Amino acid sequence: MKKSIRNFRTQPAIKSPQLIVGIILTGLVLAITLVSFFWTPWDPIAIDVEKRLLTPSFSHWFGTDRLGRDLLSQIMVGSQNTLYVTLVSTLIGVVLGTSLGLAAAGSGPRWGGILTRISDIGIAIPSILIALVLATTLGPGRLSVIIAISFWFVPVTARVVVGPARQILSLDFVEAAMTHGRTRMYIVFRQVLPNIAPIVIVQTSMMFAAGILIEASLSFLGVGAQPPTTSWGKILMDSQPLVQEAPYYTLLPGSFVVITVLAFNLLGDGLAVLLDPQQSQKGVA
Amino acid sequence: MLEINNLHISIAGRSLVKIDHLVVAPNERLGIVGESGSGKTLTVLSILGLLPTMMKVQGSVIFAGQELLGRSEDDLAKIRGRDIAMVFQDPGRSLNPTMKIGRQAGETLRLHSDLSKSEIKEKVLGLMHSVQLKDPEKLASRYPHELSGGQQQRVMIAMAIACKPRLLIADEPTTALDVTVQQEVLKLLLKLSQESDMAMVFVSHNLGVVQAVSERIAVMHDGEIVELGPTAQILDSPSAAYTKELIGANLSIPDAQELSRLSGSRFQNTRGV
Amino acid sequence: MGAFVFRVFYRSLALMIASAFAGSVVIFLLLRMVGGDIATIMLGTKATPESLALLREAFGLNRSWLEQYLSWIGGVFRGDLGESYTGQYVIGTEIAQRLEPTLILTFGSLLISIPIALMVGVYSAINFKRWRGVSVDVLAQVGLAIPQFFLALVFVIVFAVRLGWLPATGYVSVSIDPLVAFQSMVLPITTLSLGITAVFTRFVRTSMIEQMNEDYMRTAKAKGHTVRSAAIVHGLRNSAIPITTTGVLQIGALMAGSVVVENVFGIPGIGRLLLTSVMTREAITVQSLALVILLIILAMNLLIDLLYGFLDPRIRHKEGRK
Repeated sequence: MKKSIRNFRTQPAIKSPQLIVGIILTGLVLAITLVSFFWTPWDPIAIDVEKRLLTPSFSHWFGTDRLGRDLLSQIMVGSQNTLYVTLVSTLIGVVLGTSLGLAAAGSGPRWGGILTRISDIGIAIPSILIALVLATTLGPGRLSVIIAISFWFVPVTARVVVGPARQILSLDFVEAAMTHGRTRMYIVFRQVLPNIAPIVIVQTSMMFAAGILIEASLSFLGVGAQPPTTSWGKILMDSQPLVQEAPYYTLLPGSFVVITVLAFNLLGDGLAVLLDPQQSQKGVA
Repeated sequence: MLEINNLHISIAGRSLVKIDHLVVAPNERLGIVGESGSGKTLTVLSILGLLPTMMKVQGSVIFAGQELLGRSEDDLAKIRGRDIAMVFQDPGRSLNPTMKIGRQAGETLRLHSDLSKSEIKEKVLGLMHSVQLKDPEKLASRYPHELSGGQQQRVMIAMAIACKPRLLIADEPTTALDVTVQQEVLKLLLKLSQESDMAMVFVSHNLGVVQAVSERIAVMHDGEIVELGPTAQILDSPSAAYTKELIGANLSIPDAQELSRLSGSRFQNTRGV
Repeated sequence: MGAFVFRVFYRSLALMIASAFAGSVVIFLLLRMVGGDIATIMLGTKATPESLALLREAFGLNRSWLEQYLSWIGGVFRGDLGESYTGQYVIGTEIAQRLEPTLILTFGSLLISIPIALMVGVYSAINFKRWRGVSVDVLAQVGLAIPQFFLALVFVIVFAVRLGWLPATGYVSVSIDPLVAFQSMVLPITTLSLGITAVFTRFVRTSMIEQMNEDYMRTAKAKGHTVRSAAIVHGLRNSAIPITTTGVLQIGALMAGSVVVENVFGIPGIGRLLLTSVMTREAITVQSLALVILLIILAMNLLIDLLYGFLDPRIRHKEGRK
């Protein structure tokens, strides 16, 4: 029984400038990250004290940091860390969250409600605080960050999944399928999953953006990726005392972070318009 | 008083309503009847310029010598509620759930007159009284969800007639109400219209209801007026095929005869439904 | 209205107390179950067995977990949270002193962001098809992509370094010098509230646009309201209601943000203490701090629950009737 409940009436992409800009920007960021594995304008860890704190120029597009290292190269390499942490957290969060949401949806209305309540509590606890507590015992580092972010992503995803999953499962044809001997699992995979996929995809994009922000903040506080791993937050942390002498040291990397986060948010918004027009018609420009 | 000419409402190129000519005389009670999708609601919404923006409207709607179509929102806002008022279908949803009844009811007065707060308050109580609401003082400090459907609709009516409009448009005012309450609300509307200088356009899919309060009826089908004439004539000797179908299938309401007597129209049941 | 307040408030309060206890258990366990023995964590792996033993004695870490937990909670009620292991401060007093700046910062930001978000969100919603409405939304979208620490630094660059209008760091208690206190709080509060405002604004906008499609708005227009007056008189309150749900989430973000903001602006608040404690592995301090932060979050949630009931009369009667 190949029934698709949701009408994937895709809107023409032109109607959504967000999608286009989102795709371009995220593509750019991903491209930069990939490139950084093979090549950067300068060696990011090459210290050259003579060249410290140079303002942006033709040879050093973003200038140099307090140890003479090229800032642009640092940012490029730093994106590896950001994407790694966020990707892992997102994967864990989405997989666990979706599973929990589906499990709860399939176990009856009561479980769905319980999961929603618990998720609400989980969502209300900020990752940064969890990361800080974890960092006390586990020590600072990417592990604490990943755990903390995942811890938040799971209920966020679960909550988003539970509602629609329940809706779909309560439809008549599902009952019909069950009387025909299909197991719940089968229905879940064949019917529910494809139909909640768009919602989950949009949510993932938004969460990704949030994850980048959290990771950067934690690295800035010194609780994230530890040296020698380069991270955006660390770059900005180093720039703080030099705010008066070298504002570009703060402004350029920071703007890069903003653009990256914006990129994923726009992508999410654009995808929402594309895949879930009813939801998004509520006033998305 | 109200004259509609060459009204053409369309959306995305698809024609929804096409009316060549329709007139409402002062103090007249005109009924518009048709099934869902016939365009009757769109027609009356266009009078007040309340159509969704995606719809294109062309033609002319003249009220008291002035063209309404294409007027600015500010101009229309002055006319709405004061000269032309409207009562909608689902009073439960048409009232603001977080605002007290008394305050909502007095809004047209606040918007269109200079009366003081206490004067408005008095008038509101009087209005609620005239729509047969008991205990107006108590009701005024309640919220919509605390009232019954019939009470809510009476409040809507009170709001509508507050500024003594010259035209009242009622779009399926009784459809969402219980049958027994329908009766009372219809009688109320009839009474208000008869006792004042107010014309009424009554829209419904229910011919039985429409004929009970209207002097003239316009039958709409697929966006066009297929028949127009005095109530008695429409009912006794319908000319359009659709009208005949409508009459045959119409739902009667209890005490239709009493209402007909009150409104001066004659109802003859052609199929004994 | 009285009955409602009674029921909802006490129920929310009970929930809050239950959550606080549950949270305290989680915090307690988290610090003991993860990452190994607390004493080692606090002193480091190079610590001598003697110093470890001393530490354990001093902080009662040899007792069973249940004993430790009860002793801690008992201390909370008595106001005695122990001392930092470096002996430099009494935890309870330190936290109490630092509450003032943090509360001013967080509550101040919350209080500012709500009216701004309402005004801007409504404006954006009313004009949602025109450029001015859209550009506001775009602005909000950019706003919530900015990490707070970056915004803080930018503010420091612009207002403290370049323009010299406001101090970059430092704080003085209101009771000592309110003017200086105020000055030192301007940038921090602005930074913290900007992110929250952006989120709220978008939410108000969406909520208001939804409301504009409701029947009662059509009635309002039919009565003679312009879109603008209908939105403000009728739509505002109705669209504010769903905001309370998102508000709950934002509070956590506020507290998290205060850690960053306090750090950048050198505000001696709870967030700053938390950070330093984490860095120096003061597990005992972190334990109590986490609880305090949790309590603040729960208290704000309580306020929002009350606000919700106040805004939506339908809830009042449902609750009252029970």
